[in-house]
Amino acid sequence: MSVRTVIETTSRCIADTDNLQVLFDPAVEPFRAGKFRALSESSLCADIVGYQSGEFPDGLYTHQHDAIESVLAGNNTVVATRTSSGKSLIYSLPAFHTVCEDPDATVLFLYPQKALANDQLLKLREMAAAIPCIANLQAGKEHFVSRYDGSTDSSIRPAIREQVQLMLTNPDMLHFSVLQHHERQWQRFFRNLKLVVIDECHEYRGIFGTNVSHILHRLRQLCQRYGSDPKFIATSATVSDPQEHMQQLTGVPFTCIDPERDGSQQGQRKFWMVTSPDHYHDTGRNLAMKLAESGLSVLAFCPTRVAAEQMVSRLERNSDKDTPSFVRVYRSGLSSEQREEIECGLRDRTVRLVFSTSALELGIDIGSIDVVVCIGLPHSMMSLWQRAGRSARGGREGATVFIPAETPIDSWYAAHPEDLFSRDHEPLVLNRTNQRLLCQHYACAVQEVGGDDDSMDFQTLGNEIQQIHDLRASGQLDRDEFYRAEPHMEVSVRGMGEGTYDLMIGKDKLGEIDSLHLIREACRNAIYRHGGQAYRVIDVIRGKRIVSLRREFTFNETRPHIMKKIKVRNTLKSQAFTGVKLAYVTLNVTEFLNCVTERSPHGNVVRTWNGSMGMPPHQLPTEGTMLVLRTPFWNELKQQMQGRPESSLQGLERLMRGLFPTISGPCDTQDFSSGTDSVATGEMAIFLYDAVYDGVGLTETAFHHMQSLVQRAEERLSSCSCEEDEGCFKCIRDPQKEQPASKADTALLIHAVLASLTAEVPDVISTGHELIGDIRQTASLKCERCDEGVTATDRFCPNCGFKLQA
Amino acid sequence: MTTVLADPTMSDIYPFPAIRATQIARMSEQNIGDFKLTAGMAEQMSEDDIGLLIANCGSMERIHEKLLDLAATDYSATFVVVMQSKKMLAVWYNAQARSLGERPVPESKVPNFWVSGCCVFTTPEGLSGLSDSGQLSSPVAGILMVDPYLSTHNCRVIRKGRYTITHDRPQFVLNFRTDHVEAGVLPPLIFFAVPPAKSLNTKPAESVYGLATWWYADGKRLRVGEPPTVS
Repeated sequence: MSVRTVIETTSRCIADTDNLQVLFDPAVEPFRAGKFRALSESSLCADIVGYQSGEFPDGLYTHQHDAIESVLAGNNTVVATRTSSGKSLIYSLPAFHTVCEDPDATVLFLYPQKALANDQLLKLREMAAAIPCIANLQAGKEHFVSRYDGSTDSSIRPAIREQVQLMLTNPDMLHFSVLQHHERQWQRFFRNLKLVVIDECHEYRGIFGTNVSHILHRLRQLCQRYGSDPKFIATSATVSDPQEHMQQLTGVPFTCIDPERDGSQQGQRKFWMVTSPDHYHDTGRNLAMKLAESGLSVLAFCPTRVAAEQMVSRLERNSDKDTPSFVRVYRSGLSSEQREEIECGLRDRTVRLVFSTSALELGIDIGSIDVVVCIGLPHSMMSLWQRAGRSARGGREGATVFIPAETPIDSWYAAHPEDLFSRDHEPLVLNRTNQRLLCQHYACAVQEVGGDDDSMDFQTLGNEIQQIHDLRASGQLDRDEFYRAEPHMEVSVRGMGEGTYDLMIGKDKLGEIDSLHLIREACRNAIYRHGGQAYRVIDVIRGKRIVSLRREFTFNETRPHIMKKIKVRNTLKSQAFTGVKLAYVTLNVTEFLNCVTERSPHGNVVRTWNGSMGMPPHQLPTEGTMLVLRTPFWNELKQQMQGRPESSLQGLERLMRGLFPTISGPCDTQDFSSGTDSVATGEMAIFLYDAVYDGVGLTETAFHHMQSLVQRAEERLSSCSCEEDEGCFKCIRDPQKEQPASKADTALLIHAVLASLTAEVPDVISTGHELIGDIRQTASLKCERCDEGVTATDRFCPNCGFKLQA
Repeated sequence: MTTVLADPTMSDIYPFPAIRATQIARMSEQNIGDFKLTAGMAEQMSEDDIGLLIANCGSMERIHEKLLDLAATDYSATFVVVMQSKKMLAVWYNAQARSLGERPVPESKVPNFWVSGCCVFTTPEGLSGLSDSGQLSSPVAGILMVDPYLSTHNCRVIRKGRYTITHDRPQFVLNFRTDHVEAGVLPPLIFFAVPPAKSLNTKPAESVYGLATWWYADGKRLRVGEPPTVS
């Protein structure tokens, strides 16, 4: 695509689309030339300078120069400049410099995804071959630069362990293989470890980030034992306080190269926000297709995996022609071959339109996209700039079009589009006090030092591990995790709970699906879409973790109806008002399938399957904020309501969930969820909880700012332009609920709750040390009926089938 | 004039508890209460996806005897008795034929389903034919699986040489159950087994039949038919 046609073409497509209204149309961001530092000013060794002169005749960008000098001076360094600013060079050049200076040196490259490691491996090998001193070292060692992860063939692993000096891996492999077997297999590597590179460090957040934090602390413990003291280099998307994040992640102080020091070249870029009377999925799909048919390469980010698959199936359905060969779907769950095919296609432009989930936000090399279309707004600044950064790379022109969804939060930003860009960058949340993870990693750390608790390096491992040790020593803590023969196998590094299922057609593996998405997308009898094709789920075999599929040619869609049961385990803090009670609690959320409905493209119900059909419930132990309506308060309100009182609770829940990012700061909407249920006392409660295993404290903000949240809910409801009492999707109407809501009843509830929250300011009561609180809670539970032992997550007693209460 | 029949209410389907048993804990076999198949119980079993396993029945003959007593009950709804195999179906068919003075027939001549009082006897493969036949003139009050060693759920696939034929017997049962929802309630799934519950592998069956849990009852203390009136 020639210069200056991308923005013009996009503008023309938008203008030519019927009924498309432009909500936001800021000026074009101008081209910015790069700022360079001469190679002669660099401290890199002569061979590398010689290599650079050929590849980068202008020298390095200023921020690259500053970062590399910081690393070479012995500082742990994090670089948080914008996308396509050359961050990979910042860690690869010091890595090669280190090996040039010390031929025995080793470097560890850590990537959050195997696909990223794949991407970087080829580039590192090319660079290694081009730098004379490295090429000499590499000559006798086939695995000098190598990947070592789950996809590495087991027959070559011994050779890799023996030879590798630049090793690319992921946190899972680091935990399960490298740290666990360091003494037998990795001594050489640890003794000579000089640098640890952490790419895309913003991905390490939530439970995954907490696990990685513990893993990196354990890595440092082992390095201390082997006498090495590696420095850390990290790269990050633009987030709030990357320095603090890396310090929490690794336990060492960091120097930060922040976005203000970014000297990279940036192409011209233009943003739009548009809307139309059609459903936003249809608007996005049609616009993306129009742009691709104009010859542009388009990346359309969809809100969910199902939405991405439906984009392609509806293209087929709405057209009398086959879907063009340049259209694809990209998401997690595809096989690595399928993903590589799409990535290559984007690079060589044989694939021009990809409907993707956030999986393509990461820095996998897909060349430069002309236009990014966001179908549904990104709800974090990090996500916004990651997506927008897929276009206008390397000085080329690019465009980004935002299409708001029909949700409370998107409606807010559609009315205030400038606010979308003026939000603060969100903080990255870790929870190193999560007791379950602490105990698991404690057990791993003990085994790694030979089994003696007292020889652990608590200064390196952190205060939280020290606390666990002290509690054990005083006899207050005795958990099964400490007695496992293989403690490393108990850790779910990505926090996915039960792990993944294989999607199989006969004996062929199609992809994978995790347990959270299993009941939503691949329950028995469901129509499952994968890579644009439809399959019928024949069976889900839990023991073997297999989903059996059969190819089916249909435009029908299935929707699961999922019930949710929330059980409070422990109250961490509470605040008692007259009409309501606010609490921050640990809880168990069990989601189970209630029925599945199959609908034709016209919306007619074709078939319904009732019951769970053998689908395992998804269980999530987590933390959240609970708003309890006291019985007299709720009874009085119910008498004043016209419709179903439960619908007002659901209306308030939807508004609170939708508007939570406006009080918490931008956050990924997949990271939290909500529900309405009764508590042990029989009172009704609304829950806002972390949608990650064991919680990370994200929804604790709601406890401290509940009044503000309910006020925003009131503003949203009163300002919504819909006239009917049932409301609309932008306020209280929930597409997942069959029963209609009531604006009048919801407004009554909100007003009463707000009055209760503002009338007084009661004290916050804490239950004491959080670490101890949950330990005491896990005292043995018994079934009331047969006295058999049960766990906190059981819905029914396995011995007699009695339904267990909260 | 067209007569529109009102949907049967649950109390019409379950005028009295035709199946009663002592409920027990699986491992200790302690008595934990009574099970009575009432409308409320059927609703609860449907809502919570609970199956009833009446184990420790002692023998197939005893199960047969109890189900014949049930069939002879004057009941407004129908119990569908699903036998584990065609062979078992043939044995019971011929036993009933003999009791009526009729000649027994070879297995190949045994019908896929037959009606006896308030019970219909069939196999999982016969269920779809039963639905289509129009012979179910009243709502289904329960699906009674005669599965002596709780093994029917193991038959999902048949391999014949190079070919794999999917023959999902439990799925036939689930489909039938879905097709006969009354007043929003799935007909209860009740299993009859010979050995005690603690000797049966109940977990795999639980997930295959779409159940969240089992209730267990003692087959030796099973009562069927109209409850005696206490004077």
